[in-house]
Amino acid sequence: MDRFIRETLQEQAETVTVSDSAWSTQRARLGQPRTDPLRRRMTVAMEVMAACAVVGLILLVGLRPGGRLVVEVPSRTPRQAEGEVADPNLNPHVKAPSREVLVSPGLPIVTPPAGFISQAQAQAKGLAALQARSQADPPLLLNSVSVEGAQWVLHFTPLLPSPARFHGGPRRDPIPVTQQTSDVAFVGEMTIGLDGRTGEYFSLGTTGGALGPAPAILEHYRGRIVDGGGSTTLRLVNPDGSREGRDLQVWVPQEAIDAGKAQFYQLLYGAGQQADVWSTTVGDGVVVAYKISLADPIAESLAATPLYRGIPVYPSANQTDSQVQASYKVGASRETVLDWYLTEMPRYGWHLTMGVPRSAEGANRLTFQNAAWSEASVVITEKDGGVEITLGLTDAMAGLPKMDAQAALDQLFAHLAGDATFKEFPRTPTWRDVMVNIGGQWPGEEIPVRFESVVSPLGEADWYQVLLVRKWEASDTRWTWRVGPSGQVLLLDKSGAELIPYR
Amino acid sequence: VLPESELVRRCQSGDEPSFEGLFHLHARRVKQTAFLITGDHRVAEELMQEAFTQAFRTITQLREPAAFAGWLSQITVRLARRASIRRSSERAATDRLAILTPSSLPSHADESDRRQLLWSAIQSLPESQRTVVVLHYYEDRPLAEIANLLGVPQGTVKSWLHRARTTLAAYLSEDLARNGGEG
Repeated sequence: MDRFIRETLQEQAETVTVSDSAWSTQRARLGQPRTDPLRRRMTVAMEVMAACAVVGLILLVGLRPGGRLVVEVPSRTPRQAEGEVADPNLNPHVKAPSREVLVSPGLPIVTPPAGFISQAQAQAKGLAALQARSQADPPLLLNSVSVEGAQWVLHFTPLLPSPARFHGGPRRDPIPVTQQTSDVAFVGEMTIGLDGRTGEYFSLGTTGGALGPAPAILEHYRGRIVDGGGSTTLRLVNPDGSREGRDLQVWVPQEAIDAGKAQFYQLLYGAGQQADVWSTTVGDGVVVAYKISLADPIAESLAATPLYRGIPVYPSANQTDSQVQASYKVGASRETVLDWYLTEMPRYGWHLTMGVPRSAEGANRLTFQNAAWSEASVVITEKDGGVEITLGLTDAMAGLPKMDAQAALDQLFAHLAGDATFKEFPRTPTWRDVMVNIGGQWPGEEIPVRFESVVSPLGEADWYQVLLVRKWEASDTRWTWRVGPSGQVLLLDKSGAELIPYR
Repeated sequence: VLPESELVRRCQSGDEPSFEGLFHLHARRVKQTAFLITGDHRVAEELMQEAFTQAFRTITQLREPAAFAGWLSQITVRLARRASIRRSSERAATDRLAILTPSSLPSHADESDRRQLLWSAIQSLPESQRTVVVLHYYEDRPLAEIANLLGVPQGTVKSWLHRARTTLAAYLSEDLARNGGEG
């Protein structure tokens, strides 16, 4: 087998080529600011500045509407910041308004040509945005950076899909939700900027549920973008209200590629559209292109569903831990099941974040997220005259059982059981049923959850101990549940101590 | 043609043509390693660029020019591992349905099919195991060197490798059991 592995790897390695232009690209990349001490100090200053501004926002403003903001920072770094409430945020999911924070970097800066955001600014913006994302709690979005005299202007939007339920620790990057209107055929917007060096657009911020970007709109806003300088808002809708799929190329700074790509990807899927996404490295940035199509009537109906309008979407990045899955076969039609999920899931606090039209295999795929940023995926496949539903629940927080997510799924199961069309469960399913189903692997699942120890009596009548194992990287994540005769469930921690009476 | 160590010395003095020389010497190997760990040509291209960028920007810190290749490889593996973890976590569960499984092979699979199956199996390994497999089988590195490169005890490397082999063997044996052939 060793030989076979070697040959396979060698064969795959042979598919790798290096293009003739690779060196020019590399050289362009090396040409980015690196040794310039001033630039480096500015970058460091921006990082510190962003961190201080974020901490200041959280500590001093407490995300209350109104008021002024003062950020105290060490003397060698940006010293002071204050700001007024900018535009009130109209999105119901955002509880706090945007704020402008004026921060003096304490270093001389080069003012970019009028009307252009400089490459340095774009990079600083990306860095600061990432910094803000990684440190803010609750998450803050740095919407824009512009230059006013000797000051940088940072524009933050606090994002509070559910502050009370926010968990610390690793989290997903939120997508900014900055504005929503309900009276026009517009369901999303994105913040774009212009790279003053190349003249290319870039994007750092997008909002949920957008229609496909249309070149006509880009053209329409081009003048405003240039005149306004820095970033601006682009509303993604065709002037005639049509949703014809188009191609769009967006320049994304290297520093923001992770956030940017994920956001766009999710943005498009959030509208129930199917998008082919590709990207390639050009110079010191990445061109990301999306080919958008509405190839399926279901996608059209999804996009037209009010549910999709203005909902916040989150990139599915950082799915780092627990995942459970279950499969069911039901007698209902695909359309019925699809409709059920689309209408019922929001009632349990799950927002649709991704809707993929029916594939050639007859499968619809939906992804939902709740306020705790757990993710539930639903694959609905026509099979044997009925429909097979595969549910996956992914917990966003490493190492923390997400009871609210579990509870939501629990509710879902309970609801399913009440539906006579769900043949597999003529009675109310207990968690034992659930666990047994979870034991099945999703075909091809990369990170399987195994139902390791089926049931073991604990000496108490009809209590079972259930051990689930999720393989992840070098370690296994194990969940132990105790299931009682009436479906009571106790979740145990790794030492076996009882944690939570679950039901 | 200058020897590599001389190119490195010149690079350390800021000589750009030497950068290019080193790039052409190592680019494909770097990209191959990145590809085998991440399984994605596009990501590998980005990682190759990033690895060289990091290497060139810090090349003055390299004390021993002869160690350049190993040092570059270390940077590549570190970046590839990070990208691989991120890539894995970013992919929605629904995107993982396309992975080849033994049951999806045709009944009379040939060696090429089985190689594809094995490649798919390697890609589905946890990142740490996949990295060790690449370093051991493709880069031919001794276990001690892999342990040093990854910053883990040698026993851990052995364990990862063992588990990887077990998984891959299971894939292949399942196929053999189905088809009764040799793999």
